[in-house]
Amino acid sequence: MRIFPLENINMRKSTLILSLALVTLFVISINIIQQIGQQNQIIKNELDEKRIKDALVAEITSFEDFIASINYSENIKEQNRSLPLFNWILDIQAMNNGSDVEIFSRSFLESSGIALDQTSFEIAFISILPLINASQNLPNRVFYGKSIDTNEQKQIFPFAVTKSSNLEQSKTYFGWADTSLFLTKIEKIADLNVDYELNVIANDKLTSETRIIENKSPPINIVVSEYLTTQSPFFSINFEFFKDTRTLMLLAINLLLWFALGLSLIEHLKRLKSEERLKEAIDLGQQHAKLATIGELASGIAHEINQPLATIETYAGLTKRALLKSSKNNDFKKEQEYVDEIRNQTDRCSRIIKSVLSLKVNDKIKLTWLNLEDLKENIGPIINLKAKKHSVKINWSLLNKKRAFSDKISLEQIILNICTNGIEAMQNTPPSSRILNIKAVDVQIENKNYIEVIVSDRGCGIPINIAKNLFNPFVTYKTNGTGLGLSLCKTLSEKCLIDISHNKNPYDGTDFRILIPAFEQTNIPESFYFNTNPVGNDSSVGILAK
Amino acid sequence: MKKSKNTVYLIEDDDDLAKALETLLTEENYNCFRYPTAELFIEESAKLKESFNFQINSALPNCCLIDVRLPNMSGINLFNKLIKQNGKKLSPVIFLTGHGDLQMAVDSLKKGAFDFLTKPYKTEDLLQTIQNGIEESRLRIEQHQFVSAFEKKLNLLTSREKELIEPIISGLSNKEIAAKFQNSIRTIELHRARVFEKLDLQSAVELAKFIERFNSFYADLNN
Repeated sequence: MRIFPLENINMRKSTLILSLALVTLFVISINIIQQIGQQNQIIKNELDEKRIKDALVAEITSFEDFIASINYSENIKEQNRSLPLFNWILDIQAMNNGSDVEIFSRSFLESSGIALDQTSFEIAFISILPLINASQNLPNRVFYGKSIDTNEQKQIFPFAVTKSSNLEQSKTYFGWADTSLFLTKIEKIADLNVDYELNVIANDKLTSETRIIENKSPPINIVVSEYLTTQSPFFSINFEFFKDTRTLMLLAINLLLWFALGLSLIEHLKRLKSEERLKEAIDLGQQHAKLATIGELASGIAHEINQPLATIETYAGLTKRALLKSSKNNDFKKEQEYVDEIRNQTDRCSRIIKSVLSLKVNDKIKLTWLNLEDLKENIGPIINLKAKKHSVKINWSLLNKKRAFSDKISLEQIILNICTNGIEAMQNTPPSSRILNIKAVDVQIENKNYIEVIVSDRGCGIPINIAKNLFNPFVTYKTNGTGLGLSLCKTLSEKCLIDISHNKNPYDGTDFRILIPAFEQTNIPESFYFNTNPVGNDSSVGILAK
Repeated sequence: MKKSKNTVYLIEDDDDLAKALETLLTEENYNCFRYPTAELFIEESAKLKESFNFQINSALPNCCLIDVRLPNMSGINLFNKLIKQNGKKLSPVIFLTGHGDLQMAVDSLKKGAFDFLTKPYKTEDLLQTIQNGIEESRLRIEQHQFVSAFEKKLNLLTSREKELIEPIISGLSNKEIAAKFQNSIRTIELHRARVFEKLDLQSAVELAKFIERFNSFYADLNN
């Protein structure tokens, strides 16, 4: 039944406050962690940037030192062995001032193994030409160009420097560097986190950067680094900040608070639950007490009513005997039947008193095979009488083929009670639709035969707050109900293993379903009653009896 | 004719029911005396000792119909008191109980009540039970009458004659008895004739039967 353990706990103010506090703390904590993470990220980024810059400075400085040290040659690669250190340099070309740049460029690119079609050559040429011109005008500075794509999907960037003591003897060195190799090297030197990747050299704003070779002024950054990963603020936890003691302390305090709050919430819920149980137990106890009181009362009433009943029976018996004695053959046959009927009804009264009102007496019930038609015959007139009073139409449809196995009195009482309730529930229904359907069908549940009697009214329905406790004693939704009828039905049904349930029907009324076993059963629960009042020494009943 | 009517003592506080029962019982040819309380019954019974206590030879079969729930002294208490006073000599007592008093009724049955009826009973059941009670009563009266009559006769015997009864029952011949008591056969014969005469019996077999009956009833009644 209990799907969710908290389902039965009423949300109280305290629970709400506690939960709210927990949630607030959670949100604040998340926020703090998030902020710390962001701060950390910024610091880390700055740190990385600095490392990249340092790496860049180191690499470029050593490269420029190398440039400064080389002498003119047609092919520097062959001449200078330190060139492989700068593996990102494709080649360096040297030319005299005034030489044809285009020829040099073409031959250079071809010797560097870069595939050349007209377009890529032009791009390369166009990108290096201004560098060379600039370097010739401003000697002893290294000019770096923008990174460009060749048709091989390779990125290269040009550089040029003119070394001269005077203009006539100047030599221009120029070449291309492999961008990706260069970036990899920088990354290696900077020992960067894998999260970052450098991928662009010299963005559009920085078409060229220069540096004077001689005065080793701080090199200007030519690399624009871009961060590959986009930081998701929430869920990628940066463990860097654990290294910070203050952060750790904050986190510890936070955790402690969480823990404490969580614990108190759990305890609170537990307490609420046990309170609920206690309340249930008290309720049950009160109900038992009520039942016990009713039992005493009923016992007294039963005795009181039994007296006149016995008197009626005695007179009826007397009459019967008198009729028998004084009549010959078929005289007074009818009158004798009438007397028998009086006696039957007296008997019925007494049995009802026994089985319904005597809550304290553990009466043995008698299970027999019952025909619902007989049952209809017995209680039909009573239901009809009630129905007539309330202008209700009764529809019987006993479609069952099987017989029920139950206690006659109990079953009659249950059906009578439920029908009466149904009739009374239709007080406020327009008379035209005051219909009570009593339907019986055979059903099979777990390979066992049952008869289901469905009593459907078109009344007001049962309020939800009452439906839950409908079968408890003194629970009623009728203005002048005792709240005992259905409780007794429940008690009776439990003794005969009859199951009673109810649900709302399409007419906004209620369907009562009475599931009666249609198979022989042996293990009947012995006692459902409360023997709070042992027979023989109960003064209360004695007083009532007087 | 009227004298042979059996008697039912009815102790029932509910006037209507008592009246109905009285009518029924009278109609069924019983003498019915009804008392609304246990106290009144005890008071009356003290006066009419003979009629409900069958120690007297002339008593007619009778029984008591007692409601368990009576004001002040309950039916059970009344029964306890009566059984204390009369023991086995009490007339059969039938209880009328409410359904809740079942256990009490069973207890009283163990103590010696004759039967009980749960209200409201079927008239036929009531009459049958009363009939049974009366039969029981008649039987007990007979037994009692027999015992008291026979006791009287026995008391007529001299001690010597009483001594003879046992040997006679065990089937010894006069000769053997004479040998046993070291008496002449003639004397024994004389005594023996006197025993039979006083006890108003014919044979040794008959004597044996009577003695047996007497002993069993006597034990029953005086237990």
